[in-house]
Amino acid sequence: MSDLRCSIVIPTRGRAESLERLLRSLACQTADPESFETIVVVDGPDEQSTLLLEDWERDCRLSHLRYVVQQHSGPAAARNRGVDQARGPVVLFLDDDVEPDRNLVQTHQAHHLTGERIAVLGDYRIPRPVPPSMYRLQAWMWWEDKFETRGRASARRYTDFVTGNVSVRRDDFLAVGGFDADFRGYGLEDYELGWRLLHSGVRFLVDRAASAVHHHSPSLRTSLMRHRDEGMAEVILGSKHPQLRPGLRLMTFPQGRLGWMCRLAFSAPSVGDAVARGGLGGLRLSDALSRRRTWARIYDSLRTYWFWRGVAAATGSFAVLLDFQSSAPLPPVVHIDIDGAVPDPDELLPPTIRGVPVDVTVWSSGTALTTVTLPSDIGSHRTARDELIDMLARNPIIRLWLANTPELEKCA
Amino acid sequence: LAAQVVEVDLGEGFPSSIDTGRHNEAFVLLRFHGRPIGTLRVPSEGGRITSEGIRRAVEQDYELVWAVSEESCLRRIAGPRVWPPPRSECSFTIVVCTRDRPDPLRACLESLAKLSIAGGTVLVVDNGSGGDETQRMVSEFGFDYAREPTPGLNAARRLAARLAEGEISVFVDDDAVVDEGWLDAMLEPFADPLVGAVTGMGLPLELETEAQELFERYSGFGHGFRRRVFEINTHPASGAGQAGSGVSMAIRTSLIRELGLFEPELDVGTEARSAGDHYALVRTLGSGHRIVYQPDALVWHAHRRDYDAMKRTVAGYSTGVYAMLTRIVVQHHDLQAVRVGWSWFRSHHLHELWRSITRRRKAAPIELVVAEIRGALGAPGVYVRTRRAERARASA
Repeated sequence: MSDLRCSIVIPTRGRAESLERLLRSLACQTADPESFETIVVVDGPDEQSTLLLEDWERDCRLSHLRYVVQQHSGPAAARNRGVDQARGPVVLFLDDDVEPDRNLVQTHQAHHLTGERIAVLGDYRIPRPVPPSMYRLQAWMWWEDKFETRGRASARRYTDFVTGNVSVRRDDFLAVGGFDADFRGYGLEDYELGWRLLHSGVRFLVDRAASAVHHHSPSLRTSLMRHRDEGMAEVILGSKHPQLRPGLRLMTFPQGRLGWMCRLAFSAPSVGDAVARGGLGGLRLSDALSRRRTWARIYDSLRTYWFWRGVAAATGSFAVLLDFQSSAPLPPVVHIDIDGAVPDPDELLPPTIRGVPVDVTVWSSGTALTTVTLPSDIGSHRTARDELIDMLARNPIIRLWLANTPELEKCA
Repeated sequence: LAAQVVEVDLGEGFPSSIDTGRHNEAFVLLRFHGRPIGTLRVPSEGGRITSEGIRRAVEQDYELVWAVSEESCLRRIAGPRVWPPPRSECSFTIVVCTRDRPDPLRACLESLAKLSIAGGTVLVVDNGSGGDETQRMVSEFGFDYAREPTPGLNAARRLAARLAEGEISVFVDDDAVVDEGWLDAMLEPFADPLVGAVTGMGLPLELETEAQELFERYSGFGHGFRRRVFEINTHPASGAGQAGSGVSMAIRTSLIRELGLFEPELDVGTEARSAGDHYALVRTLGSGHRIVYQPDALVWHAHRRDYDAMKRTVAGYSTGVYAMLTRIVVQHHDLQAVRVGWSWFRSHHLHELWRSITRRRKAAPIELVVAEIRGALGAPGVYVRTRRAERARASA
């Protein structure tokens, strides 16, 4: 076992078919089969998956395959359990609905040869849906954007850390205490670990060549429930790390009609749920009539509603939420001087506060002109510096300060 | 009545006066250190326009003043903006489809020859020209040549997409002349893999006749100087024509092949007469990809000088657009196309008709509007016939 270079940890629950697809692709990796082990953690009773794993183990179809079955306690706890069993120096987390390319394991292993304290983040893109239903298109666009911006960004933020296809040194993982098992539902346990890893000095390295196909297939209803779970998870994340609160969705309660609907999540959830069910019918109708903008609007309202429904379930009352929001620390402040060259925002910030909004105080000739707030996702469409420059040039106060247009004066 | 088309760069300072010849006014493209930021009309004084006149005209147009101040503010903060914009690293094939138009084609190829086309090729598809003059001209420039005997612009585009070696197929009309920054600007947005298509801006190459003036005012290819991004969440797919047109349009070659974006029964040379480009954009947007309208990518289009030819073109546009929308409704079951069609009919045709009837200033001649409406009304019938032709081809 001395040449074991990594341990693959796969939590699974009720998806035997996709698990088998994953195991099959692991069985034909370019990496030496002796160089990695596979540990599947079955989260809760799941007869089908257990039978499948028994078969695979008996027939030795994949070397070093092991599995554990645990009481259902969420993917975070399942991954921790898997790492407990792991013997390799590097842990590679894969989701049970991905299908790795043949060289995935080898690519991850190659990066860790240096022994540096890195986490290697790989892609797992969804194939483009044909025919394109709105819901699948949305999911496809979201993931494409996520991987694209992550691959392009000059600086890493904690939200880059998603666990579908990521490897990290086992020591680093254990040093920060692994996944936080308080996250029992869907979502954010990966971001939270990413935050602690960044803080402990682990560098994130994105390699788009370490890629897998994501057979993403939750139903519309499941995906809305995931938004509820995310609402609950944001409350946990915000309580554990108050400094992250300024960048969380739960800091801004929606306005207008949608705001009233979301209030129902706190005051009369049964009424709100009934309205949301009606909205689901509206979604089906507008998809059938190919009213795509209507669809997008309803979908957006529904997912916002379910998000706040989750927040309501976790906080208990609106007053607690207001308290939660108002006790958030102020965003960090940095200073820039527009008389000199505008710096890259990524260089201004220490790695740990990336992913959080930042207030930038703008100076010129010794005067503080104004403050602009950099959103937490700055740099996701163009480089962060270009986005900052655009924000500055659009700011009316800065415009007035630099009010003259020498080019036009010259014409006279 | 005609206008002299001139360019002025505010960043470089310009001659104290520009000759406008016999024209009453100048149609001025305003640039700022190379980058196009707006157009304006400056009346000619004694056969010339002066810098003072230009400045006055700029100051009367608040949008231009805003654009100049934004550019100058950006320059103060960020230093000189790179022009032309940095090209994305995709390989490309520039495609020019032509049919028996050696003179405009020569101007087009000359402008392409001035570009740096390292990393790509230029492919001219000859769509059934008689004689070999086109072929000789293309080989003179050293560009690739292919012949598509089936008449129809889309048949030619289809062949081009089959032959294209580049990841991006960049289409430009044979009667257009490209600007020096055109290619870089067309390729720049493709750095984002979700961008499926990019459209550019078209300005008149000349405004010598009334017909050209009318075309520019009525149906020109300019869509403003602001970059716009079209996405399925925010724009109905069938309205993708707002993004631009085939005069200057780039699409990922893989997408053209996969979705079959160019149906040979559409566009010039067939009964549908236009909108093959529009259909390709609709399908691109509907597949979840983004379309970027890139005003930095500039071409100069030679509008028809002759009034009757111009009228036929304009009527053909409306036949094509409504035939295409019918197709979207019938074949792709996208009911939003009905709404898009109706709102275009109301806001363009009925509006123009009302202006003509009430003799508003600069209204189009009523017969032009009527020709256009007749083209629109005939469109569903055209769709049925093209569909029949398409079935015949499929079974052949």
